[in-house]
Amino acid sequence: MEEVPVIKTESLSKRYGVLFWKKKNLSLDQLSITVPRGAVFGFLGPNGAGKTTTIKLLMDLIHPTSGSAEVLGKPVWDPSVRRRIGFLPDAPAFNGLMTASEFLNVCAKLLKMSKAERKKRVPEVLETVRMTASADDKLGGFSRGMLQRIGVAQAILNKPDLLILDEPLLGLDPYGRQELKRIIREQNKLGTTVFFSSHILADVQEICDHAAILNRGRLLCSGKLGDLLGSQGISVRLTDGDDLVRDLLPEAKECQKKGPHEWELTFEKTPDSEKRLQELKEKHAGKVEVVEQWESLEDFFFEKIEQDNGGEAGKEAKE
Amino acid sequence: MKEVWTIAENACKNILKLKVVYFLVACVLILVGSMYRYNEISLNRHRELLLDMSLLLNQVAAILSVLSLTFDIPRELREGIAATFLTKSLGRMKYLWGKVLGIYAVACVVCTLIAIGSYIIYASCFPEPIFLIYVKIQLLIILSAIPMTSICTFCAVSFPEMAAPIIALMAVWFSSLTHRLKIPVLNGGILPDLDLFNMKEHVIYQVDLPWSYILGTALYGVAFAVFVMMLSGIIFRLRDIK
Amino acid sequence: MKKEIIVSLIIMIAALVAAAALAPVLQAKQREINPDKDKLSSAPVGGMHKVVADWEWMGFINYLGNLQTVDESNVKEVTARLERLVRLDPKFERLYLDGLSFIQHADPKKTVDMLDSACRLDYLRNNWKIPFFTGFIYSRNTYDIKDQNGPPLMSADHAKAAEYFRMALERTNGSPENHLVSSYIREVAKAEATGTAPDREYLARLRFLRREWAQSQQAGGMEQPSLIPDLKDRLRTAMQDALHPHDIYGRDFDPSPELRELADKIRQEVFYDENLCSKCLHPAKPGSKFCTTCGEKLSNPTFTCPHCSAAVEGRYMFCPHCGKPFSDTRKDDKAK
Repeated sequence: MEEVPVIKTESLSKRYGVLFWKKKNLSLDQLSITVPRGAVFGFLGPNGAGKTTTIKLLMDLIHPTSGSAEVLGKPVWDPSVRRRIGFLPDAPAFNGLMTASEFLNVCAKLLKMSKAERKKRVPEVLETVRMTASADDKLGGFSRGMLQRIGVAQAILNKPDLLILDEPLLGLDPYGRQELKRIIREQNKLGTTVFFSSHILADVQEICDHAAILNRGRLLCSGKLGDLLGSQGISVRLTDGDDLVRDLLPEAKECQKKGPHEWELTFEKTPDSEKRLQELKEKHAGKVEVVEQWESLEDFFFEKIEQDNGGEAGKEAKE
Repeated sequence: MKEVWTIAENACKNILKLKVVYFLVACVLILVGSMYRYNEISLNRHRELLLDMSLLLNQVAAILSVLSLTFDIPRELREGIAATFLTKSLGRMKYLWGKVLGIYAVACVVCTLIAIGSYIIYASCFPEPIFLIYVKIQLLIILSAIPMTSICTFCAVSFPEMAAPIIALMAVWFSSLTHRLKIPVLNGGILPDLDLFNMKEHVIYQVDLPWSYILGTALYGVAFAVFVMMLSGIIFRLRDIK
Repeated sequence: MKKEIIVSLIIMIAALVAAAALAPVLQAKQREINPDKDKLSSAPVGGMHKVVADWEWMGFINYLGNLQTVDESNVKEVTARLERLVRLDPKFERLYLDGLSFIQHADPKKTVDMLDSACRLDYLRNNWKIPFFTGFIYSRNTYDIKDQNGPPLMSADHAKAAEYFRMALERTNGSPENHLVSSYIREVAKAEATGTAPDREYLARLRFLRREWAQSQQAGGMEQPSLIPDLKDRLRTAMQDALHPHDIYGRDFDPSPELRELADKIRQEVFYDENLCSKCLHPAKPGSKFCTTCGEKLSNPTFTCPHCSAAVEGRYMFCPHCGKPFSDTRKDDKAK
């Protein structure tokens, strides 16, 4: 049986500016994407592409002009589905008069968690985001990074099936980014599908297995990262492999010595080479590491955007 | 329902935590007590003045308490605080009801404190007994906050942040004048007849008020509030949240 | 979502209908509890009429405190302030009794108009002082303070005065103050007095009190209480005054035959159970031949009881020998 996608949109469009005298702004144009269960999905695009608009539509904060969207198999306007979703908005804001644990308790109550569950879960999530020490401090005194952590905490409170994060890495220092990426990986390992938007392409490439690129409200491409990005070959790392190097060198595109008896070779990706290198790895387990090298997501991203913008400029020039 | 109580409890606690609320209540009571010193300038009408001022200030406190909705809801929407709650399994209508109940609870607490304090001041200054009629009139003041709360909610979700409190205040003001409009459906339909809750002179003139009248006005207030809240809910439901 | 909106719309309409149905019922109930609410000012004070009235009252007192007198130069301002106060708090009793007394001499017509409105207020329906004050103003000519010898600003209207005194009497629940009763009787007499005879007021008073007595006596002997307490004593006093009248300058004059005849009729109708002297009207012991106050010979009528035929000196409701009632149409036996 085909698994129901976690997120599914069909020709989703959003036009701002209802009043007739105001210029209509098409923020999202016929967006159709599918996010499979268990994926870590990166939603990319330049500023004003429509990423936040899409996320708000999925969270039923705004209404579509046309099209439809479903989350976890149910329409987005169904409040019951949000019990299974964790959401982190960009620039999260909370009531400054509440303490962190008070706020998380309120969120837990809204998620219909019992008293016992709350008592157990709130300290757990505070520990996960490394905010236990600040549990009784008022949110008004928190820094941006601390607020972001609390935002993540309230998002994972109910162990959601789907985590939607809007620009979660924005404004975080390197430690913060590292922490957040760790949390995303952990949640994904627990079975949570993660859907997030970001500008930091290197981080997206590091943790995502699916991606979509948006430009000017239109979807440029969407799918598995492996399918989108071109392969740049297979990299083989040898430790204590002087003998092996001699055997492999003729076929390698590139060869680098990394250290005493340590070598890194790059091969062209073909079905034969893949098979052969896999067999080599199995035969010399511990000595051989085989990693596929992909095209940089950043290069791919700019390529796509420039293609789209160039096409638009060409169209405008023709008109 | 639990979500509604959660939002209500949150809204109520956030305001009742503020020390400034109790400071203002104390100021009101000092003002009420100071009316006792007006005996000469009023030719011994200071008893009436004390009671009238306590009822007036309690009414003003009720209005200001519910007016906080016109600041609170737009601010939460603008800052994104509301978005955090609305993205939980909480419908928009429940969010509004939670806010309304929470702020109404605040109004009840503030008005009750002022009523009790004013009565203690009165009882220590004057021997004439007024307890039962005083309780009834204060109860009417607290009940008048029900339709006022719904008006403020409607203004909070329908009008821009700067205009909402002003429009709400004007609506409350005009609602106290609607008894001049003799068209019944208007009184239930556009603006409530807040004059039904205004029987303050009964405390001075010791004219009894039947409990059936108080119950009737409570039901009227609730019916009007439900009407306006449903309308507000529809508007809020169709609105985009930033 | 559409279903949710439809349900909301249905609830909204139901609540609107409920509120619209309750509102007129409550408004009618409010008018029943507080009929004077319609008299309130339509000034947009947000329902705070009472407290605005309190502060206006203090302003009014302060304003009056700066005036030496209320005369034609400032009576309009004072009146305007009073009218505003009345519209803000029509139930405020002292406004009428104390406040209006300030313009009583400068504008008596306005004063009685406002007092008349106060008399008709539901809340003040048991207040007797306001109609008494109204009657008091009507009972005499009111002159300009600065020109006491000139024409009156308002002439006395004894009929109106009597009307208001009667209103005050009706509101006292059977225990009026003496000066109220006296004022009422006096004004009725002045209103009903006709002709130019010097004893016209005495005649009018006796006729009025006799009428009141007749009304208080019902068929079957059951008495109806009169507004005037101690009616019999007052009749006796009025008769005594009538037999020794004096003019407005205090000079005695002889009562007219008409007056004497009326007094005698009243003596026989009202005081049949008392042996009154026909000259001075003081009661004498049964059996006395001469009055112990003035020495006049007493008529001492005797009557025959229709049941036991006993001879009874004096006129009574019931026979002192057999206890049965004398008939209504008593006929005097001839005096021995």
